[in-house]
Amino acid sequence: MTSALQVHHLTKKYPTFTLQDLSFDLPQGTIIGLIGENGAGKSTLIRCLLQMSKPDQGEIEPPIKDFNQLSYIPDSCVFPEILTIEQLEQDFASIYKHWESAKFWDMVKRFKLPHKQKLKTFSKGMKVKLAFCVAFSHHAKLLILDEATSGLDPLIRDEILDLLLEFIQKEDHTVLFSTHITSDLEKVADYILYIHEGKKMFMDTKDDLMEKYVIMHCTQDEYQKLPSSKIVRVIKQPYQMDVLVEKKEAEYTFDTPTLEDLMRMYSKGEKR
Amino acid sequence: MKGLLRKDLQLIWASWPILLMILIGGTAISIYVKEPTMDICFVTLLLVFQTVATVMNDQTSGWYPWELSLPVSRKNMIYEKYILAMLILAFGLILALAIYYGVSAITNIAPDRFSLEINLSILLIFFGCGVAPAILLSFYKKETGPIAMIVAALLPIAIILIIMNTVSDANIKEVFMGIGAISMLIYFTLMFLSPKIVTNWLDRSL
Repeated sequence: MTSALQVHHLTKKYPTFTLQDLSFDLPQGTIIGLIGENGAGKSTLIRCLLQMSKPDQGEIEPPIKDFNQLSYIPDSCVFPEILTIEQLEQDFASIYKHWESAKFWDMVKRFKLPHKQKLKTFSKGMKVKLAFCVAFSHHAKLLILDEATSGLDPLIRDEILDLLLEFIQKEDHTVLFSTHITSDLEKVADYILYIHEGKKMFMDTKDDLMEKYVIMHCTQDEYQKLPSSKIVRVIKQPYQMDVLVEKKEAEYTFDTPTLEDLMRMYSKGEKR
Repeated sequence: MKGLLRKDLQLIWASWPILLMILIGGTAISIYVKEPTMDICFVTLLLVFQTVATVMNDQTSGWYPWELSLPVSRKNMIYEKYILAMLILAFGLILALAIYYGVSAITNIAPDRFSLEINLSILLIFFGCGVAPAILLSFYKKETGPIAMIVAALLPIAIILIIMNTVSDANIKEVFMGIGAISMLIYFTLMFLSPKIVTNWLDRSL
């Protein structure tokens, strides 16, 4: 599969945090969910991809040179709130080489956003929709979302997810979607990349992840009898052991984990 | 860069009622105290300082550093603020001179070349030694915006006070004009150094 971006041994050091030796591919034509706890390094990774920060080591191939083909939507509205959509549209038409005015106004109409009102009167959902109108109106091929849907109600999030699915209908379009709302990723993501304390814990297809692992609930005695090679992670609870194993190795009662469960097991669990 | 300039001019224009009120107030004062030359610095700097305000606005809204994801080079993104300031300086100066001659006519005080030259030099000192460092400092962090405004005012005032207290009246005009010219050199030097300085700051911040 063609890669939109390849990251090789990316390292970025700060006084209190280090993004360590990250290597992965972003497959083209897919939605890659980027998950991790607060402070895991997701935003730092995104800043390195966008060349807002220079990595201390490693490289990103190809380096993004044509920012006309990139759209980045952060977690809050960055557009000057004193301006109107009409004014912003004029600005972006001058900034982007291939600005599609007709497409922009179609999307604004679709979302029923008011043209002449200042952005400070918009709700959070309206501002996010506007960000998507801008993102999709200049022939972008790579869309990076950094917690862009946090704080939105489920109905608007569903609309946004539909937009993402529309966006990747074209083979050369790719979405990197960083979010805490793992249920959204379970709906739309093709790949999941999990970062914990600056390190890559896993990157796999969402379907494989959901199919591959189960969480076994067993007693201490049952746990002791399990071979170490089977145990991916374990969380010791007062009255049971939650053990992450591959499905084929499951022996006792087990549940199919959600992405949130997988994050919990990898971040809080131990290897035996 | 054109789009960024347009955005900043829209931002400044959005404040026109307040700016107009301040302009009218300042002009009224210059008529009352019969000092038309004060309009030259007052009017121009009132408008030029809006450039620093746009950088502060970009910081608080999050536009900067998001605009680094736009197809505008980092250099052009930063140069845009300095170019904006120069455009506003040119416009502001024309407006200021028009108000100066108007106030001169109203107050029956003949335009005075000596005062005009001193005031233009003072304007350039504020521009090069005040506005330029203020633009740069405003890029550092959100919190340094107000400090930048203070630097923009106090540094040139300090320079002017030093000149007035150390230079004799016979040479004062030449000294002011010389310092004014040096201030413009400082302006362009800071403008060309800014992209590298801002990149270093950006790289060190989370």
